[in-house]
Amino acid sequence: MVGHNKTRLDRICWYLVSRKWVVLITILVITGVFLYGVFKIRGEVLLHELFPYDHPYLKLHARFSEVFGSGGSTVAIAIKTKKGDIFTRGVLDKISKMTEEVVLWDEVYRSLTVSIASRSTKVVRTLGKGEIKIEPLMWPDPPNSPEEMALLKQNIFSNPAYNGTLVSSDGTAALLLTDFKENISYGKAFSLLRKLVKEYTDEETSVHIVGFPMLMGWIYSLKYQTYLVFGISIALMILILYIIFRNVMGMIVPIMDAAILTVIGLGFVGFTGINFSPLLYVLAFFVGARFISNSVQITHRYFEELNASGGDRLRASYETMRTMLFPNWTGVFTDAAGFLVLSFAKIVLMQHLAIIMGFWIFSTGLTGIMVPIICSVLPLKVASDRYAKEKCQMDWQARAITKVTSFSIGSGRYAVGGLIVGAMIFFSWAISGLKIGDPTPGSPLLWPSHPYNQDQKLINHLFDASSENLMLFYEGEKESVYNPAVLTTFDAFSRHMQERLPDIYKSSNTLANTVNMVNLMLHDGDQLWYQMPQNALMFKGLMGYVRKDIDPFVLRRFVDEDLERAQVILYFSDHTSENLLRIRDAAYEFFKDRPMNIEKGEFKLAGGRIGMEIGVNEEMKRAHALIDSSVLAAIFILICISFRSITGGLMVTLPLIFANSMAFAYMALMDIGLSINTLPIAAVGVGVGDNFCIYLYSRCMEEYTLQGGDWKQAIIQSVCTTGKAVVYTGLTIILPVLTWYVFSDMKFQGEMGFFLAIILGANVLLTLTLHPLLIYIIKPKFIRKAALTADNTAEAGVAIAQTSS
Amino acid sequence: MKRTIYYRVFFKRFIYVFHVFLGMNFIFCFLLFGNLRGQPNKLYDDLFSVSFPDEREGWVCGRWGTILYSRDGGKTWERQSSGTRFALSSIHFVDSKQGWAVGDQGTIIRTVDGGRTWEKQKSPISDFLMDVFFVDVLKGWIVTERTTILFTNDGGKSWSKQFSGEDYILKAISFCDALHGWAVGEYGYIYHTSNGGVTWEKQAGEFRISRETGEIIGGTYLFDVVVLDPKTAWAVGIDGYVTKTLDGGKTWEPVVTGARRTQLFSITSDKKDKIFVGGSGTFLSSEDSGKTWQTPEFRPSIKYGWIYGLAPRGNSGFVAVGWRGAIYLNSSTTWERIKY
Repeated sequence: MVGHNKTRLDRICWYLVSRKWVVLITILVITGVFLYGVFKIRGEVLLHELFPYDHPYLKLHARFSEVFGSGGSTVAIAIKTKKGDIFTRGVLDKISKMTEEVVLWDEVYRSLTVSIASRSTKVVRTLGKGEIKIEPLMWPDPPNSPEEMALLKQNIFSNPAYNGTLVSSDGTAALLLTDFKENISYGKAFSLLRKLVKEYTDEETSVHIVGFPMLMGWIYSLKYQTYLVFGISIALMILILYIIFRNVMGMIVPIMDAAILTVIGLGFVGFTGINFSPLLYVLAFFVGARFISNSVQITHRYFEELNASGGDRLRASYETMRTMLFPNWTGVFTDAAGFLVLSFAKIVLMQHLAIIMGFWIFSTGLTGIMVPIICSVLPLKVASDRYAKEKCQMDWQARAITKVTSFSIGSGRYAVGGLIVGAMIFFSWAISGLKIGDPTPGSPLLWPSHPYNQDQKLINHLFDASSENLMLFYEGEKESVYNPAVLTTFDAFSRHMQERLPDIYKSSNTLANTVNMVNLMLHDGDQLWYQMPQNALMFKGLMGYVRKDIDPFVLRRFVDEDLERAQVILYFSDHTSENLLRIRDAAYEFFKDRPMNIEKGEFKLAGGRIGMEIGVNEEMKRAHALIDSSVLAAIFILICISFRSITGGLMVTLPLIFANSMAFAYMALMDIGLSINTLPIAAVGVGVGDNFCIYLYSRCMEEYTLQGGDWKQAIIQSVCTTGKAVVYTGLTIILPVLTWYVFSDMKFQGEMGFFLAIILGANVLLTLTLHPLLIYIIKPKFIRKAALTADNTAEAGVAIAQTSS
Repeated sequence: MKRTIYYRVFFKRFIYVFHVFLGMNFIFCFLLFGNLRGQPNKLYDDLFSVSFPDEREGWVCGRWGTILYSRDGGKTWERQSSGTRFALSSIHFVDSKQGWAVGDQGTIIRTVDGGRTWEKQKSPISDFLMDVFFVDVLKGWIVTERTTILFTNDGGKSWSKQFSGEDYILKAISFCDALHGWAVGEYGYIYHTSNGGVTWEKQAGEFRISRETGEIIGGTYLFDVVVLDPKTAWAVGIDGYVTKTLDGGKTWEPVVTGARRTQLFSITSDKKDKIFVGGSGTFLSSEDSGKTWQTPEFRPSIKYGWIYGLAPRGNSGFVAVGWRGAIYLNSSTTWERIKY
């Protein structure tokens, strides 16, 4: 009889428990191997990993960046005087020196490095007798005499291409724009830029830098602070574990489990060579919290079983493993689904994440084996009486928890139902405001008071140029850039964008600026002619002047050597998701009533940082819908299989939608957009919520039999045991996660910590309220059906244990 | 039973509070977005010409087909749709309804309803049209970049070439009545008519290339002219050059103003004693028919900017327009920039 009833799982569990030392040593050896991998972790972010490789804008950008340089990692460096204007020999010398220094860096595109002191910044001078000459504005040396200084001022402030762009209109700051090459790590870029800040900041001037490389650099510089926050939250976690369990074992086991799994996960990251960005640390912490969550549940159960078995560690270990392996693995699969679907996004970083996090989560499957075994080998005493199942209601915490549940499934069920429906309506409304991309003008990754965001604010205020640029490209036959239609279209395009987006448009830069200047000078300074000639012959004549007087290296910023390709660069004040869409729509609107194809070539949209960000957002939008629905579908299917019940699948999945709506509503209300940084966390949030209720349902299956088919009693009993463990788990994770909100200088981490706390809190609450209510109302068949099997397997377990002892 | 009632009340209250909360959110969002949409217009194009047929109503034109309209003597301005994207170099209104503007690529536009609608008129040439002047609702002239003078006798329904000279730019044209007028331009060329344009007589200007040195020898480029009466006219040009005639153009004398050697784009007068001259980073005024000159204060300064268009606002003052959408109005001694 006994032999017939034992399942394969029972046999495996017994096999593992009885060879606990072998299992433990094997796990430790594996951990040792992975430990080696931990030291090989790469912490660099490369630009191309963050963008969708398949998007047409990105492909276009990649092709043209070979000609003009990228524009994707533009840095704007402002040098600001503390008193007076920049027109003193001392400050101008600094600008010259700084420009020379930056131009010589191997890490930047020389042709894209521009300031008033660079060779490529030109002024058109009349030589008399109808002749003109195009000369550098302030190269190689700043002016010496007051007359020269006055002339320089005149040349800058009377030129719309420089006034407000390279020098602020109030004359107190100058701008240096440069572009880092794509294969440069942000760590390297940041150290170069920080050196610049240090070198040129004194009692006379200050230096302010914005741009993607700088932002990433700042984020990397917070790495060590992140470690500290990590440490604080782990310490807090240990403390909470001790308060909950009131014994060393309850504290040590989850931490040991988490430590081993963390080493395995990080080791895997190291071995694969995949980059591990500090932005993802919070995700790693979250995965770690998942380890703790699982092991707290299992440890709690072990104590119960230890009490039930009268202190028989082996039997308690076996019982724990046998009963907890199923919910543990079901949870692992659903969690892993959350990560694996990230690979649907055609972004390298997302696919890397899917691989490493998927593996990491799968390793959580070891918890179900490892925790009971670790528990059984530790010769520590536990206050076993506290874990007596039948006494669970004596405990004030359990009493409080069961009161909440009794209220939810009893007299308060209409209130709970109404509250949830009402909340769902509110969440749906809030989510309609959720944005894709960055909803804030500075960087949403950092707090507004961070130096980076302060610098961004200052530069936006002072200048008409920025690191946020959009490029329109032209490509055609050889010498076809001579067709006036190319530059006049660029000019009209800039004008159109300025007209459509007056609140965010800053300035534009093309060869047209130089052509306009030459045209002006050829007409004796008549301002009416500061424009592109409409006449083809005249245009060719002007281009002849420009090509004769400007070296090809300088021209390369706007046209290529064979005059086949050209570009216009437009600067905007911000990159909020809403504005990116406005920019894209306005750009296409321009080409609505004029062809993108002209006689010998065609215009192409959209390059630059803004083109790339539009690309990411479009991919995010596509991937987000796909990922979210896939996660839910995967969870639904996995639960259906595990419980062998569609009702079970629905009961787990529908409340998940509620919990996640709550989290997304929070994002919408807090103005956190769905970006490459938040997508993984949002997607994983979907996967995490189900774990608590899986433990609850699984416990209900056992309790239903034990309570003789009394639904109410079965629910209450499950809640006061597993439910209590769920609350403990929740507290163990939520409180440490909140420390990120308090201590981290990275707004993103703080807010994501808060976001995770909300998801977890919502799920804990749902496990105590909605899920018991659902079980009570639906009285699902899968729990009743499982009761029979549970009954048999319990007997089988006892039999095996007795036989072996 | 009692309990159920209690919950019903609770539920009702909850729904009520929830709706109030939702309503507040909507109001908040409305206020927020309303505020965002109301940001000031940043579109400030270069302005080239201004015309006030009376004290209150005035029009300004500029780059990218810009036309601005004021109904309160220049204190506030609103945009009008010109229907063209080409630069409009000159605008002229004969009364508060009827006006013309001209510009690049032979653009001529006309309004009969104070600028609410602008219609295109056909130009016989597609060059850059530089200046337009009407003496009444029918009779008007346009000067162009290739020494051509266009004329209409029917309010612009038909334009014809009245004069074609050498291939230089004619920048400005001005009449004191239907018969007497001057046109000025590149290399100091000055043409005069005393018969409403039937004939145009060259009074000044030269262009030749020196045989010895190969250098260009030419008169001083003139940008603008203003005619006060059949005998008196003033013109301004590059290098701070101001010149006048008191004898119907037989002689043109340079006027010493103390101006910087820079471009002077524009000149206007109240046809009595006041004369104003605007240019690149400079502005001159005279209250005694040009005997003495002052440089009035501009707020903010035009040191690195320029004034391209000048006109009287009836009898109440003057208006100056120029770079980056600048519009200045004068009061006794200072000129204040208008925010719009």
